[in-house]
Amino acid sequence: MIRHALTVISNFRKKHPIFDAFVWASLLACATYIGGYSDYFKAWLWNLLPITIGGLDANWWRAFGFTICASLVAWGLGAGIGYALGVFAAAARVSIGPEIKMRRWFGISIDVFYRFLYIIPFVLTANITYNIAFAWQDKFGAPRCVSGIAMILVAGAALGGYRVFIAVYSSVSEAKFESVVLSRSLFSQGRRDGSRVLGLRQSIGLVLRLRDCEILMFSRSLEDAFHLSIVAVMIVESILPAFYENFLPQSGFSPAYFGGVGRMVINAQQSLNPRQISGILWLVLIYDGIVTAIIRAGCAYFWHRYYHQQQKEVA
Amino acid sequence: MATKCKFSFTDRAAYAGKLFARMFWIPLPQPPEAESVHRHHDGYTVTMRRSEIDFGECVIDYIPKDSEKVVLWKPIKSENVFVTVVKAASGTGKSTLLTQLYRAIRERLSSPLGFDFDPDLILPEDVAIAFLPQKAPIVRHWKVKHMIPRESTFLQGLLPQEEDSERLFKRLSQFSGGQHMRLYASSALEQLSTSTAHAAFLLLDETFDGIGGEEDVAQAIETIRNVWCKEVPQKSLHVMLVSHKQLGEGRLSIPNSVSLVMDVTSRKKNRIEVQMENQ
Repeated sequence: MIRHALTVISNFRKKHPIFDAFVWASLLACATYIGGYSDYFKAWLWNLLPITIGGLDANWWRAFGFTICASLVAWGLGAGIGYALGVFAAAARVSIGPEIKMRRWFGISIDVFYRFLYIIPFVLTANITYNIAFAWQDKFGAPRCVSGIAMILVAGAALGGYRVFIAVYSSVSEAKFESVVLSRSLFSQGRRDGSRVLGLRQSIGLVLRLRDCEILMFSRSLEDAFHLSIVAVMIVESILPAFYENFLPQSGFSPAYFGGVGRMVINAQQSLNPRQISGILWLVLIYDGIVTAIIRAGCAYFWHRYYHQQQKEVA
Repeated sequence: MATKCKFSFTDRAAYAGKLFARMFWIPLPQPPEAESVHRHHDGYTVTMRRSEIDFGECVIDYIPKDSEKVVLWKPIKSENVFVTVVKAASGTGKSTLLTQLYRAIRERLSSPLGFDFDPDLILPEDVAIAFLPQKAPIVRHWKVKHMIPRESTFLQGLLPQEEDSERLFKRLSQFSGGQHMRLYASSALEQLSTSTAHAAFLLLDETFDGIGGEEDVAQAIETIRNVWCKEVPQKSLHVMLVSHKQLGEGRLSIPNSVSLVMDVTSRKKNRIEVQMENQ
């Protein structure tokens, strides 16, 4: 039907060349008419360009420094926790047979609990964690930094950590039959019998082999974890005023940049300053791109380069 | 009237403790190795009855041709390596047969295939099995030294052209496709040879098809046999080999092997009937 309509139009244009001139004239008229009203939007568009980074004052850059440190620490902690939990939960699932139902149930429970932590809104998780940490700090006289560390830990583990966890866990729970069979069949140190039930060391060895079979998924999860750790850190900064004060010995008046980029963005929104918000968002995007590229280069150095050597060396 | 239980309280407590320890990776004292290993057998006769695998959308029916049973592994006196070569055209269910055999031996689950095992092979701990599937993933960043021990005689037999000191530190990406399979086979044989089980099963699904001609495949099997007989004489090794190399004019010349021939007799909508016989 569309083809028929296009044919009709094409034939019409051949018969009446003036039709083209009419269409172009109409377009020009419309553009001129709309252009008179677009100055407001043009001003907005200027505010959204990357050059707005140049308009950021020193406080933004200081806040950005805090956010960089917090996101890197959150990513490291989150990836570590997610990886350790993923290996442990997956190791609980690799053995087979009716005698290890409890162990499998244990692994599945970790997955369900962690998934629950991931899917509930992070704002709720952060609020609850802060309340618990603050109450603990208040009741038992723990150092002030405890609540700050707890929040960074949650920021890393709840979102980014889960991506690493699920990459390791699903490489076992959803492993291809061929991968499972091969990993079980190959030689591994310490495995000496034909038993279905494996010891902890052997289970972890098997999990690591299955992770290797899906290594691209795992390295992608490290990148995702970093994206999410920035998001989580900025959410924490925005819901807790002067978040980095927690790492100082005394609370009280501190400059605005102690709230981090998240809090500064909230303040800028309240004072209707889109130019600075746009600038910091571009900065965060550039920072995210740089660190992601470094993570990808690291993964390529450790794992991916071997995927491409095959054609070079054995042709 | 209540009957008295034959298990005492201490028996039950010991059983519960053992079960609990197994659930949470608590190591238990193992019996001395000498009791569980080195039980020499002349070999096991493993046969297969008529059976049917229902995959939901497709049903494969294995029908023995002349007799009730098809011999998969036949004991031969003074031998402890038994080779079965499966010969069939594409689509007859060779890989399915191997997969089901793996599941039946490894998991001891109710398999739709009717295998008759020797009574000695009841306990899973008595049996070690390795299966190299046709689509085995090649994990190119694995190092050889993590897959195979340094002093592996199987690797020396199957990959003699590589220097010991060099190959251990190489990664899989530095080997060719045929060498990958030789490495995998060596690693699987190492695993089988170090197990405490007294019978080992090695299932090879077109594993050696890429290493060369028919003579090369036969030579690889012969190497496995020789090294196994020399290094692990106290254990039986049962190899089932699927290879398309048989389909040519020449045939694999593997001495003392059983040849299992599979032919598709009818192929209806969702049903494939395969006739099996020993040649």
